[in-house]
Amino acid sequence: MRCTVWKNKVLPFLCVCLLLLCCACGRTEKNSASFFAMDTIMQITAYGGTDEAIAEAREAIRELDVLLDATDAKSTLSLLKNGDLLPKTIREPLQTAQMIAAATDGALDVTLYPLSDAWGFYTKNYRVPAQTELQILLKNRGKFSVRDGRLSCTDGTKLDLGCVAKGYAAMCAAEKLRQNGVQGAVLSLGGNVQTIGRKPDGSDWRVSVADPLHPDGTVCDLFVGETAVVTSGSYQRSFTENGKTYHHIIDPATGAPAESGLLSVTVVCADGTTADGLSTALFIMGMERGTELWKSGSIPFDALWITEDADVYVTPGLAERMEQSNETYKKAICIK
Amino acid sequence: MKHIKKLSASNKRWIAVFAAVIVCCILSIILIKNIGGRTAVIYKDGREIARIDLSRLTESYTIPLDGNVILVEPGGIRMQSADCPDQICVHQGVLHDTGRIVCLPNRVLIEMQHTKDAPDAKAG
Repeated sequence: MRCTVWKNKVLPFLCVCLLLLCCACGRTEKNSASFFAMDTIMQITAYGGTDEAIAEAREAIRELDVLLDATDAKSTLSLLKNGDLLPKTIREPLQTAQMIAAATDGALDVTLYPLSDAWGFYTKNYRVPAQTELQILLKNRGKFSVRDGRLSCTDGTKLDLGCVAKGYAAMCAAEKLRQNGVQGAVLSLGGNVQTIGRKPDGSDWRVSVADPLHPDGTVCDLFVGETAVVTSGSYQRSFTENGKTYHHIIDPATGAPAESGLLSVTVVCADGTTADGLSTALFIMGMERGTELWKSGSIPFDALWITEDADVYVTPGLAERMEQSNETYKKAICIK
Repeated sequence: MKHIKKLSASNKRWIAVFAAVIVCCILSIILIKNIGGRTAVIYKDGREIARIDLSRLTESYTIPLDGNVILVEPGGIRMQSADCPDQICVHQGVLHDTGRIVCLPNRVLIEMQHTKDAPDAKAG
């Protein structure tokens, strides 16, 4: 009797186990590509999906790069005039930027092109503009609004979507991958990370956060599912003049690099465009205003703040998803 | 537990076969994951130019790539010189096991192939 149980139940069960194990050996096909776009390096790693998946995602990024390039006077973004109908690829990131601007009391501002230009962050001919120059540029930077999908703006308005472009491009590229049957992928657009699904083995993606003092190193690892992870930090672009370092994140209140006591802010949230814009806004706002925004719940997000005093603060959603690896920084404090 | 003691000889053989196959599978998975730990890949404009196993090198040599010169040494790789204005890639020093060197102006990327312990991506 027991022999029959063995032959009829246990042996077939073992056979199935063995088959499954063999399937696990033959892993899902992994494709990856590294390329340059939007003045940075981009990497896509996709599991499964068609052969064209990565090529199409790459093409989507290239198109947005041409369209949204504020430094190119002939780009669709630069050529926009008062009354023009906005194409979807400009309207969507612009709407997200405006939503963040409204929620953060104007910390995110897409009309700061003349200011960043005056500091030399586009041409790399860096200089420190005088206070009066900054005040004049701030005053004349123009105003805009979007009504019925049309742009309404004053003369001199120059839109720069650089604060959300990479996050938006990552979302569009991820969508292309999904359309091509990709079930798991990780995209890094110059440090703007976007994930799709989970790893083939079902585990979380491991996304490390750059050390703002030594960007080759890392501060911690975050274990995340399908989401966007974006860091804004003063270390990403800066120049030094007369012993003082000036970084690229311009505070719309002063027209000068934000001095908020932070080294970097990392935002984790489902929408890549929001994560990108919000990381910039939170960097400008500093710890206090940033935590107030989180508590208000007006935009749902998780974040990791690193201060100039090497303090690390995280929202509860990240506290159990992080592993610290760098002793330069203090143990993370969970905000409540 | 009692019935295990009463297994027939043929069943015991079956179990032995399964056990052997499973052990082989596990061993091969471990082996696959450990291969290719110190391979550097060089890209120019997103295209793969070279793939070098650093652990098998016996002597150093340089790879000229337009305005860049890459120095490959046993166990390490670095940007020896570059004609770009910022020289960030040159100052990044030597790569051994992980990480990457990027020359943005000349669109050159040197990357250590992912090892089993590397994160999937880096934000920043």
